[in-house]
Formats: sequence, C-alpha cells, structure tokens
Amino acid sequence: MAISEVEARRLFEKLATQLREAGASTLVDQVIDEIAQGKQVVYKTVARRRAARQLQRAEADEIYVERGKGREYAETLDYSAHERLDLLLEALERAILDAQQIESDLLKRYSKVRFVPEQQVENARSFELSGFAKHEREVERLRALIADLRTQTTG
Amino acid sequence: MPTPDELVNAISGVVGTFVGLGAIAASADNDRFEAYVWSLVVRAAIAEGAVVTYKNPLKVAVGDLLFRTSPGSISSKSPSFTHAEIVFPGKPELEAHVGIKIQGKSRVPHECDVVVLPMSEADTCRAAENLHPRHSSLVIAAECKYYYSNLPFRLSREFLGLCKEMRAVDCYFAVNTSKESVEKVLAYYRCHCETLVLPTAAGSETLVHAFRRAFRDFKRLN
Repeated sequence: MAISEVEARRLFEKLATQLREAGASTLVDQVIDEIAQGKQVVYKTVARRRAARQLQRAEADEIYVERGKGREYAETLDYSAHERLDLLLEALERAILDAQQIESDLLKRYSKVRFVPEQQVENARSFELSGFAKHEREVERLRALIADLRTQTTG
Repeated sequence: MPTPDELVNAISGVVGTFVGLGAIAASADNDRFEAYVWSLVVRAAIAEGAVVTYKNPLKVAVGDLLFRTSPGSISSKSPSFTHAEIVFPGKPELEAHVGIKIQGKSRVPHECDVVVLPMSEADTCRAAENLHPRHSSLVIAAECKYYYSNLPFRLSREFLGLCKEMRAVDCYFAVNTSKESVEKVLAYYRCHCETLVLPTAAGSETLVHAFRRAFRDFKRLN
C-alpha cells in the first residue's frame, strides 16, 4: 500500500538531510533545483475562441504559443511528494549505480585510467578509476535498498 | 521487513561509504563520463575500419590513459595527456582528444569535451604555444554532461550557443539522463542529441552509430 503524501514528504526531507550529512550535497542540490523548475511541460490545445484569450495571465508561469488553428500552452506543474522522493532515488542510482557501470566499462577496455589537472594549482584534484569497481557488493546492496524503498512507498 | 525509515537510514549509510571513496563528486563524474564518450568515439572508429593507437603529445604509444580534469590546450606537453590516433587506410590521419579548447567562428576559444580533428591541424597547434585548433577542422565535437537529476533546461540553450560557434553538423550533445523539454528544443533546431548514454542503455549504441556516420562521411569526403 502506498504511503501518504505527508509521509512521502517526511521521508524526502529525512533522506535529503542524511545525504547532505553523508557528503552528497551536490546531488541533493541538483534534485532541489529540478523540483524548483517544476515538472515536464505539458502542451494543451485550447479552442480559438474569445473566451480562451482570458486564460492568459501575465503573472502565470505559462508560455503562450500559437500554431495553426489551435493554441498551445506550455504548462509547468509542481512535483508531488511521491515524485520528489522518486527524483531523489533516481539521482542516487545515477550517482552510484550508473557511475559504477561507466567505470567498469572503461576498466574492461583500458587497464589504467588517470585524471590530473593540466596546471598544478592549490586544491587541484587528481584521481584514478578503480574506486567503484572493487565494491560491487555494496553497489548491489544499494540497488536492493532503493528497490525496497520504492516498493514500500508506491505500494 | 524493514520500515521505510530503516531503509532510508541504510541507504544513507551505504551512500556515506561511497562518498568516502570519492563518489558523488560532480566534476569527477563529468571527467569519467567524458572519457566514456571518448571511448565510444574510439569504438565507432574501429567499427568503421580504423586502426587506433593511444599516444602522448610526443607521439609515443602508451598503454595507460591520462586525461585532463579541466579543459586545456592541445599544445601542452606536460603532463603528457593521452589522445587516440585514428588511421583509416588511405585517408588523412585523425586524433581524438578529451577536454581541449577549440577556436570558434568568433575566433574565441571554447572548451570542447571530446573532439576529433585531423592530425595535421593538431600538429600545427602543437608546434606553436597555446594555439587552438580551428572549428572548421573538426570532424566531431561532443558536449558531455553527467547529471544526477534530469537535465536543467538551460543546457539546451548553452548547446545551441556552441552549435552556433562551431559547425552544428559536427556537434553532438551526449548526456547520461534526459529531459523532454531539452530534447524538444534540440530536435526543433535539428541538433544531434543523445540521451541515456550509459553502458546498459540504448543511448550508447545510438551515439556510436552517429559517430560512425561522421567517420563514414569523413572517409567519403577525403
């Protein structure tokens, strides 16, 4: 059975806070930016009538497009609490599961891959691929935990 | 069965372990993704019949790969960054680089994530200090983005700007995620856009096919 919107909102806040504490602020920030932008634009065709003109509101976050005989409106909608939680889980999958896939694919083809800055400046970062490849068990555990949480929250 | 709260706690714990290993660092994830797209360019070249060797700026063959963490100049000799030398029989030699600057139509240098250009152009730039290859010489210019969330809309505007400064036909937008509005804008302007570029997703194969087409056109025209 799916959890309520209130419960989904609470879990989102809890997970976001814990991820920030774990050092994954970049990920949380990206998801929050996406939530602020709103959900995928939906195009609605409105009959070309005088009354339709009254739909235009200068202050609304809507883009007016005229094409052919009908009129199309691009609409921005808010994400629901369940969708917000799912965005956070999807982001985790991309950050760890997908990143691990990419690293494994590269290491299958090349024995050693390193990244260094062109100029040695303070706080310049260097790294070598290998971090994820050795932790497949943890990756699988995370995959299972995310799947379980999805099942419990969506019912 | 664990409760949702217990699952959230467990997820955070595992994520903390990975952060300790260097995961969820946006810049490192982008660097890794650029190297991955570069490897797809190499795969496409081989599939089109090229012989590929990995070289440093002194043209010495190398086994281990070394890439930049931020865009630089093709003429830099140290550290000795790796590029792929791509040779199609009877055709001018090509090179595939990661993270170098390219001179745009306005003659301003732009950062390009993955670039394929003729070796003759690369040699000219390497011979001089801080000379950047010209946009007109490019065979492929791929803009790579690795995002945890869906793509921000502004990226479509940025890519359109790059297409204006390069030749749009050479430019490819390669991303790990997707967003309908971004794809819609880039489709409207007939840009090459490949989403879900990941080892287990269809985007990688589609991108390899697009790169193969670019190499085929290069062979026909040279």
